Amino acid sequence: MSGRNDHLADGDMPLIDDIDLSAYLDGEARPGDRRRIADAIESAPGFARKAQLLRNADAKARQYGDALLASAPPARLCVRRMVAERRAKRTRRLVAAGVVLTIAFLSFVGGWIGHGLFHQQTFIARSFVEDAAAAHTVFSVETRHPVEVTALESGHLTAWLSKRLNIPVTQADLSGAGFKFIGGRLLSSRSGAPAAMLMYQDAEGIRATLYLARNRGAEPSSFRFFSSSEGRTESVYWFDRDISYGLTGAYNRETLLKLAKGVLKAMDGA
Amino acid sequence: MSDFLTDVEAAIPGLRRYALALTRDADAADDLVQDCLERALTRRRLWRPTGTVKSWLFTILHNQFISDRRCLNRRAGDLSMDDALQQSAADNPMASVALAETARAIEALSLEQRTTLLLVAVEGLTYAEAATATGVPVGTIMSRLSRARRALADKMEAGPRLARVK
Repeated sequence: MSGRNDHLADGDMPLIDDIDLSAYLDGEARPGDRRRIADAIESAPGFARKAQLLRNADAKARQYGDALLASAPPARLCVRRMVAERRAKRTRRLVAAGVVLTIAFLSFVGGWIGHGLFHQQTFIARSFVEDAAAAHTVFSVETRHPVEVTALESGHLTAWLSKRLNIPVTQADLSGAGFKFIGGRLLSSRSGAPAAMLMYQDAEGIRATLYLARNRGAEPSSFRFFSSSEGRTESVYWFDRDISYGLTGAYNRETLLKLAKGVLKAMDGA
Repeated sequence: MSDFLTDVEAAIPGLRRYALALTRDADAADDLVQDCLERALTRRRLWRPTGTVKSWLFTILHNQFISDRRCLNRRAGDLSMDDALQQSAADNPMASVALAETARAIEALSLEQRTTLLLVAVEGLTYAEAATATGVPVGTIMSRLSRARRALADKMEAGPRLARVK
């Protein structure tokens, strides 16, 4: 490139090289060189012929190019299809992300609700067993009127309580465990619904009470234990579909559990 | 945006031609074009209308070819023009002889000269666009181009008289 401007000094015979000519034919010659190149082609037939040869070369190249492209483009080069596939892929990805987000959201909501339900369950169960323990504390110490209806009228008692509580109340026979049935009474409960208490007594005159109510929203459960805040009594309580049971006494858990199983067996038999 | 796609579609024949000239293998050429198109669609938002979509695509294709060749150490295929020649030989035997001459002459050029000639003379890129596409200065484009044309012109002129019977 550097050598070609040397010829400019050559006055009458303007010299141009192949690069000049080639660029001129492409319309890419520098503006300052155009006049000079055009003049050279005009004045020297050799340059014009050369220009024609270069043009022929381009024509040959184009023929070559056309011949190369003998086959139609394969389907995989269809841009519109590529775009559609990309869009479909993106949609699938969005759907997948949406599914993940939805699952995450539902898990969160489920957790939230479950958490609430758990608390609600805990609350229901806790209220019930506290009522049972409180009733025991109040009535088990009574000497003259521990019960409202005595064991002598047990048939009347169970029929009455069954009717008021709207659950089948039976007088469980716990004599096998050394407990004698004394009687029972109707009670109120924290929920405002009626409850019943059946009282038993061992050979030493120590009492155990069975507190019953219609189950209001507690999940059926197996035996659970509760110690009153004073620590004087233990309770075992459980829920079935219809009935809530709370057995309380100043006994250890093994004894209470044995009684609870006796109650359960009697109720199943009912 | 669909203008963009229209421009891309319009450039496909040129891209395939150029890819064939680079790879000299029909499947490899279409692979190259496909990669180029995928890449172009991925970078679609990066395209700025400072140049034409066509020259941008040629730049992507060329870079793809260079990096493929570097990675795979792929050698150019031997496609030459046999398929195309057999097709046109049936129509015009004379033309096919002349075409074979041309093909031989063009394929004898160095890769750099051949690609530059194709980009400018066949695909109609400007010198600046060809320089960007092949990653060399405009001066290099100018010299490669003139040497390619000169070599081709010389071969044509000195070619066998047989092909020139009229």
